[in-house]
Parts: sequence; C-alpha cells; structure tokens
Amino acid sequence: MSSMKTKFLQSKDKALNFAVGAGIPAGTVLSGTAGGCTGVCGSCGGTCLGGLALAVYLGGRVIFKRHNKTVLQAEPSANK
Amino acid sequence: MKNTLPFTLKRTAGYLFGFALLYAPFELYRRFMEGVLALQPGFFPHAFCPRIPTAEIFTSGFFDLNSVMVWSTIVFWLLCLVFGPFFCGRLCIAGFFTETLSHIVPDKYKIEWEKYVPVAHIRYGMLLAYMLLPLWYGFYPCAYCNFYFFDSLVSVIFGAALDFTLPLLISGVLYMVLFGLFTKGGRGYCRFLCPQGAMQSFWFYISARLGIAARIKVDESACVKCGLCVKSCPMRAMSIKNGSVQSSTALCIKCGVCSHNCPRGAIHTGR
Repeated sequence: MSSMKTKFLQSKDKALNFAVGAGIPAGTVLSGTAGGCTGVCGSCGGTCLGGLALAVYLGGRVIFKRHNKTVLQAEPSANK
Repeated sequence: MKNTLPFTLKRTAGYLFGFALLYAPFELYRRFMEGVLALQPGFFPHAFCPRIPTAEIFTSGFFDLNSVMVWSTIVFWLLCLVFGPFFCGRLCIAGFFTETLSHIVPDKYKIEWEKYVPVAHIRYGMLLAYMLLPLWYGFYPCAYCNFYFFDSLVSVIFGAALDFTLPLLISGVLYMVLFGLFTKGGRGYCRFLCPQGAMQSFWFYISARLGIAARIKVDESACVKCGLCVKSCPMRAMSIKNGSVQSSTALCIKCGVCSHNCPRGAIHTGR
C-alpha cells in the first residue's frame, strides 16, 4: 500500500514538474506581454520572465526540501 | 592518472568548429551556402529552428518559408535520428561555454538539481509548450533558444548594434550564473531551458528505442560502480540505480566524457 502511495506521489511530482516546464513559455501569455519576436531582444516583451519564475520555483524546492530534509540521496558510490 | 588533455583538446576543437560554423563573425555555414551554393539560408542561425516550420504547417505559411531553412531543419532532425544529439555533444559552444565556466566554482557550492526536481520532466514540458503555443498565440518564445539567445550574446560581444535589454540580461544571468557557475556539470541551461537541445534529445530518445541511434552502454561485468561517470557527466544523464550504472537517453548528449573517465573502459556506444 505504501509503495502504491509512493508511486502515486512520484507520478504527481513528475506531472507537476512537467506543467512547470510547460509554464515557462506559457507564462508569458498570462502576463499579457506576448508581442512576437522581431529579432531584436526585448521586442517579445519579456518572454524570458518564465525562466525567472523557474529559477524562483527551483530555489523554493531547494529550500523546502533542505528544510524538510527530503532531499533525494544518490546511491553511495555516486556521492564520492 | 589518466591524461585528459588530448580528449579535452579534441572536444574543444569540435565546439570551436561549431562556433565558427554558425556564429558571427565567422558564419562558415552561411558563407558556404551563399558563396558556394548561391543560396540564402534565411535568418541565421535560425536556419535550424525546429519550431518555426512546425508552427507554419498549421498557419499555412509553411510554403512561404525559406526553402533552405526548411531543408536545413529536416536534415538536422534526420541527423539527430541517426546520430543522436550530435550538435549538443560535439558542436554547441553555448553548452560547452557554461560547462567550462562551471569549473571555476568548487563542487560544494554547486547544486545537483536531480536531488530536488525531475529535470527531464521540466525539460520536455518546456519543449511541448514551446512547440505548441505559437499555434494559438502567434508569438515566438525564443528567449531561451540558444540559436537566438547565444547568437544575441555573441553579437553583443562582437560589437553588433543590439540593445542589452533587461530580458537578455535576465536570460544571461540564468544561463551563466545559476545554471552555469552554480550547477553541477554546468549545463543547467541545456537541461532546463534549451528547446533545441530538448528537441534533439527527443529524436534521440525515439531512435534509441527503435534501435537506430547508438546509445551509451555500460558493460556490467567490467564496471566497478566507482561512480566517476556519474560525477563527471555534464548533463547528469548517468546514474546508479539498483546497483547498476544507467544512462538516460532523455538527457544524454553523447559527449563521451563518461567513457573517457571510466577507469575500466566499461562504457561504450552501441545499439
């Protein structure tokens, strides 16, 4: 039963992170800044802001997992 | 102690050739197309863009595209199917640059992202939205594509009249600092944000499953599980699971670093 729960949580985590990845370019649509690239950086109205959101998300995950001590441990030989 | 100099020089030469091939002021590919074949390769180095032709199929603008661009993209994809992500692993200076840069910072200050997030899922989520969104919204999320982003950086360095805007600055900080200097392997940008790399790995994933492209294989009888390949892989594609070393085709760029670092010669490519 607990292995089923673990598998479910892992799948949920993967789906969540897939959505986060998709949100990087999709986030610019929500921000209403999508103007279209004309070849000059900046003309797209900030399509890179999704990456900033990713950095904040990743930073949050690192802090949260370290705080809760739920960091995945690689197998011993890989940690040398 | 293994002599790494010849291997490093060979790798560096490949990436410098890739730089000379695509980026200004050298642009050997464009010069070859224009000078020898008398062809215009379209907006360069977007000639290999995987998204614009795909989006234009649905917007009926496909046949208006520059034919060199369409053929370059198709040939590029076919090469990825046959050889895997050869561009990332042998020619892309953008990834090699941050990989090299990351050696400046000691390992203890770098982040091993795999411990915190399933990297491949973020990578392919990004690719999916990157490829599909323009079909509905018509905007071009190019900010992360190395063929746009790195080209912009190089242009700035070589004095092109390009505004150093805030978006470019943000992308640059992510690319060089967070995903370069402070990421283990130094290829955080390649793993999270580069759609070109994700596209190549996508073809490699399919072709490796179909037995077309050769993938990294580990000889279990020779492997001593020392973990050197895991530690040295710039893409963090190698892992030890259930007591055996595995390479993920979703992330591997076939750069050869793992096989070079293997003290037992247990890593090779095969179908």
